[in-house]
This record gives sequence, structure tokens and C-alpha cells, in this order.
Amino acid sequence: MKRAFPQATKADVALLLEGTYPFVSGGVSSWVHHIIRSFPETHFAAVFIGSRREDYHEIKYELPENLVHLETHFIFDKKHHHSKKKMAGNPKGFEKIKELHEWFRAPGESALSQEIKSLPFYLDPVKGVHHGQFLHSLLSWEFISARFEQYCTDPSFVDYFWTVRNMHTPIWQLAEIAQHLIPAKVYHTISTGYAGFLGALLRHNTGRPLILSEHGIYTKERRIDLLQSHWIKDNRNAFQRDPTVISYYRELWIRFFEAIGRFCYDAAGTICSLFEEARQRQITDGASPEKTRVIPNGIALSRLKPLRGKRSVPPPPILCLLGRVVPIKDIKCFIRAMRTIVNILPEAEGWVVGPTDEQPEYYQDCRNLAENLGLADKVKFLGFQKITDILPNAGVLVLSSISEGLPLVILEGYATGLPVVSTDVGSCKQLVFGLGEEDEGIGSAGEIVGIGNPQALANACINLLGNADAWQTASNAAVTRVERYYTEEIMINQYREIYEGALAQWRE
Amino acid sequence: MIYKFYALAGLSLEIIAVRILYLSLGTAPKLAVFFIVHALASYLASVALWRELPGNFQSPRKQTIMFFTTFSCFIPVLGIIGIALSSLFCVHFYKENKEFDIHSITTPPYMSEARVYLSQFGEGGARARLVNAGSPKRQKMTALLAMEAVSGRSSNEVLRIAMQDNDDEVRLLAFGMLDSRENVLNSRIHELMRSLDDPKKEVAEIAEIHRNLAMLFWELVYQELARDSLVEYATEKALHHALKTAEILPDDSGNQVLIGRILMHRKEYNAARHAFWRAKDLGIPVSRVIPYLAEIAYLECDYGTVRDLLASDTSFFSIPVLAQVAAFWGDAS
Repeated sequence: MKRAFPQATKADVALLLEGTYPFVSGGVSSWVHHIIRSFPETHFAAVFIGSRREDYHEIKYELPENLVHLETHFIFDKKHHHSKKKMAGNPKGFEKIKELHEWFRAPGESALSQEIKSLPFYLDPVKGVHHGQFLHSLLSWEFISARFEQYCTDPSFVDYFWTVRNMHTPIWQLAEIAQHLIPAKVYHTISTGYAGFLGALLRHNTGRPLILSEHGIYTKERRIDLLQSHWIKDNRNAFQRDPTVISYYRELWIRFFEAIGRFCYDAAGTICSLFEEARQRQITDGASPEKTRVIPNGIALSRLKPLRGKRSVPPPPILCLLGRVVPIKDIKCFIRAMRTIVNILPEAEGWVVGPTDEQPEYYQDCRNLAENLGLADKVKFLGFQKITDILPNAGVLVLSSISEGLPLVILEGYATGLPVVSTDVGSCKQLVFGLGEEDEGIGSAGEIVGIGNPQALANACINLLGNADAWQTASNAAVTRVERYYTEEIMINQYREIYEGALAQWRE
Repeated sequence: MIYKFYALAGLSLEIIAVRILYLSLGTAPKLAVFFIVHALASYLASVALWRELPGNFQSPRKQTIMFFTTFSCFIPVLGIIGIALSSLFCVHFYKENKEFDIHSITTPPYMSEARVYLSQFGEGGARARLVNAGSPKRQKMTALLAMEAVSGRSSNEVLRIAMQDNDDEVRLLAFGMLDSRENVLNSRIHELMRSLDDPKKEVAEIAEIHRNLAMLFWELVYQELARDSLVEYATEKALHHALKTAEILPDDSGNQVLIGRILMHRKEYNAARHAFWRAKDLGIPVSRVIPYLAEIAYLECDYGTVRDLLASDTSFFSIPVLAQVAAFWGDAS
């Protein structure tokens, strides 16, 4: 982290990245890296937004030359030194905040006011409510107290007060980032959330186009995380607690991310998703249908095509899971499935290929589970490896994830002729069975099973590995499908069209 | 311990002080030395006595000790006897007044204890909404959260149904809840398996580890957290550790019940029956083993034995879960 990042005074496209490239490897990061390299004539700036500095280590990619500017911001690291002197607060500003909250509650009924979209609202105490006013003004206190009285179902005002303060502080930090960011002709955010909110502020402040490309659906993933988080307080006593009603603070956090997501959807001119279901989800969450479009991922085939002939016949009994060792990949389901597979095919091995340092405690849990199930020598955690070394040695690609977009690893496996057994998440079904008559005619490139069902996962793997004809048919379908629908050219051409459209709009 | 030292030192100094009075010195220096030694003895004795007072008499510490010291110092011998007697009285006879005055106070600001929240639906309703594919998503999500408050086994099945739901979020939340339940058991299993490798463990400790491992593996099966071929694996491990416990503690009746239950699950009915009878012989109440024996008889279609077993102990009628079963088989005769 101590190395000097590239710095510039302006860029063509500013990528707004939350918790991903270049400090995290994986699908989204690879995609970002790929996009930057695919437009060598375009100068990119990257704004990395992370939680705390210690959560991110070294840069995982060799930065392309056309990435001319990189800056990092850690929103939970900053210490605020606002003077704690008494202040009344700007009544007009708080009136606007009230309007904003009403808009979040019923977005269809009124338009979002222009003042609240502007950057000076968050930075200038006369034009709006700056951070100091939010933290220390009398009006802020009255506003928070009134909303507690009106809406909060949790008995603790103290927890409510601090939750509201902590939750909203990043808003002002993002406004400061927006103020100091080098000028760019187009802003491109890879998620909603904090990066999306920053994009919306930049769009409103500069008038330049904002593009949103979502790989997963940020608000949905946040909601799942928040529903299961143990750090959120619930102070309801035995008489107040209704198990069917989630705690107020949990709901507050969920609504916060939904609200800033909506703010981003409102500002973005083009909203991209990877597959149709994700597009529908964006519309449900507040995106205007006419702004949305689907652009599936694509990969460069030239590097992987030569690997097809290197695999042994019959295919080796190696089940390969390519992905980060994190809960969302449900590595444990894969390990449990390996117990069944090894019972039937004792020579089988499970390889988990991907970084293990992102959530060390989960990695340890996985190792423990493998030991508990007597699979310590059958399930191998290989860490980060070159896919060109791994894929020719694998017999089946396995994806046990509980949530995905359009996984690049499936396309990469397909490019080498490797069939996949995947859980029914994201667009995996579409990748395995095809979408539309022509695509479906290619045949299935593997098997789809329900999430969290190790027995079904194991059976599907055994069926593929145990039947050479079925394996070959699936392998052929995999190659045909990736070559026809998921190439780099198809994806890049669509983004070229979007970038050119956005840049032309700015020129006008 | 230090207080005993204080008491002993106080007593010794007081004896020395009295001895000083009999020394052949001038009256003034004799009295001065006597007074210093006597004051010190009084202080040490007071600290020792203060320590023995009941908690509600010990505070304020400084003033109480000073009072005792003054009392002992200025009424030599009798003072210290008086304090010792009153301390004894306090320790043994004085009862703390536990009655509190009750006052009415106004509700402080921001306390909303008196608010009443109406529940959307109870546990049964939550289950029904999750099982019904047509329920709106929001209802399913809140119903799912309600399952968190329901004990493992009864809700795990519902969570599995929710994991097949069409909605991604419902599936993910159900998955997360099941996963965290399984994690709790698995991490404990791992911890115990590691401690089993420790060569310094005593035999009794090893038996305890085996017993806990057997119960944890069995819990995975019982709560239906292990499924399909993993059930077989977990059952096998549970039996292995229960038998290891029995090798070390052959007279452990609870372990015999566990062995019986595992064997029953494996459909090894004769061996299971043997384990249950052995548990009874080892002293476990007959009412704890008869339901299992009756269940085995039922599974073997030996209905006469089911009836006889359930009729053999009237205490079942006082156990809500078993009362209806016992009544049914009683009526059937």
C-alpha cells in the first residue's frame, strides 16, 4: 500500500470501485482490469473505496498504462475533527433533508430536489448541511430526536442516535472525495452503494454522464449480510420482541443502502446488468426500465483455446472449484459433496483454487470441515494459481456459490472444453442450458443443482465423470456456447458503444 | 490471610504494651511508649475485625476502621472485647433489612417501554407462510427471521423448504441461518477432536471428550443438519465416540441411552434394545427408556409389546408429549 499510485490531472473515464479492483482479485476485479486493457486509447482514473486500510493489502494486478490515476479512500478510517462549538444549523438545509427522507419513503410521488443533489449542499454550511452541522447542531439533534419519536420501534435512543450518526457520516466523506476528484468526461461505477452514491454526486455536480454496471445486485447482497449480522443491536425486551419483525436498526441499515442505491439509479444514464433477472431486479429497486440493458460477460478465447487438447481421456477425476474462499462461494457445500463423491469414486480429488486470505476464519472453518469429514488429503486448497495450469488437469468445474452474477470462471472453463456443475444462482442456468431457442439447441454444458444441496451436487458430478459420452457432449456444448455468445469482442463492442455515446453527449 | 496476620500482630502488640507498664522506667516515658504500642495494636485489631463484618457494615471503610480504633484505644482491653462481641453479633444474628421503599417516578425521556407493538403473525403463521409458495416475499422474509427464535430441529425442515424458494433473497437468508447453526456444532467438534490428540490428557478427560463428540455428531443427525451420505458419516462417528466412552465408563447410563438411540437410527434394533435395557440396569429411570423400547417394538410391528410397554408405567400420563400416545395405546387395548 505504500507504493506510489499513478496520478494525473484529468482522465477520460473515472471508474468508481468499492471493495474491489485493484486490491481484491476475483470476477469483478478481473472484469475491471479487462475493461481498462480493452480500451488502450482511453485514459482511466480509478477511485477505490474501502472500509479500513488494514482490510486491504497489496495490489493484485499489474496496473495497465492507460490507468493514469488511482486514489484510495477508506471510509471507516477517517477521524473527524470538527469543532464542537454550539451551532443552530441551517433550517432550510434540514427542511431539504426531510424532503429527501420523504422521497426515500415514497420515491414515485415527488421529484428529488435539485439542491440536495448538488455537492455544495453537503459542503457549504450556508447552502445546505455540512458535516459539522450534522454532528453538532441543535437542529440536527432535534431532527434525530423527532424521527426517533416518530418512527423508531427500538427503545434505546442512545443506540438510535449513534446508529444514525455512524450510518450517515460516509455521505459527507463521499462529498469531499467528489469535490477533490480530478475531472473526468465520464463516470463509471461498478456497483451502487457508496461508490454509486459518489457517482451520483459527481454526475449532479459536473453534469457529466454516469454509467452503472452491476455484476451482483449490491442492495440485495447488503440486505442478506445485514439480516444475518450479529453486530446490529436489538434492545427490545421480551414483551416488545416480535420474532417476525426485524430489529429497527437492521431495517434502518437496509433502508439506508436501498436509499443510496435509488439515488444512484436516479442519476445514472445507463444501467447495465449481466443477465435479464438482474435487470428486472434493478427495475424493482428503482431503476427506470428505459435506462437498463443487459451486457453479458465475455472472455478472450485465444489464450485458453490451445488448452483443450491437453486434457487426458477419459477426463481426470479432479473436481475443481475456482473462486475466492469466502462464504458466498459456499466452499463447505463443495467439501460435503466431496464426502459423497469420494465414497463412490475413491480416486477423486477436490481442488479449491483461489485466494484464501480474504476471510481467514472462513478458510480455517473449511479446513476444519474437511478434517472432520476425513477429507484432509482429498480436498486441496491450492491458493491462487494460473488457470492455464489448472483447467487442463480438471475433469469437472464446480460452482457451489449461493450468489453469482455471470461467472467468468464458467466461461473460462468452457473455453478449455470443461463442463460445469453449478448451483442455480445468477445466470448459471442460462450458461449451462442456454437462453432462447437457438442457444438451447446447443445442448447442456453440464448440470444445475439447488443451492446448499451437497448430495445433488455430488450426484451431478459423479454422473458426468462416470459417463464419458455425457462428458464429451457437455464439453462440446460448452465450447460452442462460449464461442458463439460470450466472447470478449461482443462485450467490448457494447461497452465501446456506451462509452462513445457518453463521451459524445459530453462533447455536445 | 493478611487479616489473620493483623489480628495476631494486634494481639501481640497489646501484650507487649501491657508488659511495658511493668518495666522499671519513668512514668511519663512508660506511658508514652505504652500509648504508641497500644494505639498500633488497636489499629491492627480494628482492621482485622472490620474484615469480618458483613458487607453492609463495611462501608464507609475508613470511618468504620477509625471508629473501631478510637473505641479500642481509649477503652483499653474492654473496648476491643466490646467490638469483637458486636462483630460476632453482626455476623451471626443481624439480618439485613431487605424491604425497599417503593416510589413512583415519571418515565424518563426516550424510554418507550410502554409502547405496544402488534405482532404480524406467530410461529405457526411464519411456518405456513414459508411453506406456501404464493406468499409475498416480504412476508416470507420476516417469517424466516421468526424461525431464528424457534429451536433447531423443528425449524430446520422449514428452512430447507425456504432454501428451494424461487426468490434469491429468501433462499440466501435460509441458507445463512442453516449454515450458522451447523457452524456452531462443527467448530466445537473440531476443537474437541484437536484436544483428543493431546497426549497429556487424563483418562477421565478423554472419556468426557469422547462423550461430547458423540453428542455433537448425534446432534448433527438429530437436528437434520447432516443429510444423505453425511448422515451415515455423522452417525458412524457418533457411535464410534459413544462406544469409546463406554470402554472407559462402562457404567455410564446416559451414554448407553445415546448408544441405543444411535443404533435405533441405524435400524440395529436388537443392539439398540440391549443398550436401553443396560441403561435401565445402570440406574436410569425406566420412564426414560420405555418410550424408545416402545418405538423399536412399533418399528418391528410388534404392537402388543408397544401396548404392554406403555401400560407398564403410568408416569407417561404426566408427560405432555407422551400422554396422548400412552392414552391412544391404552384405548387400543
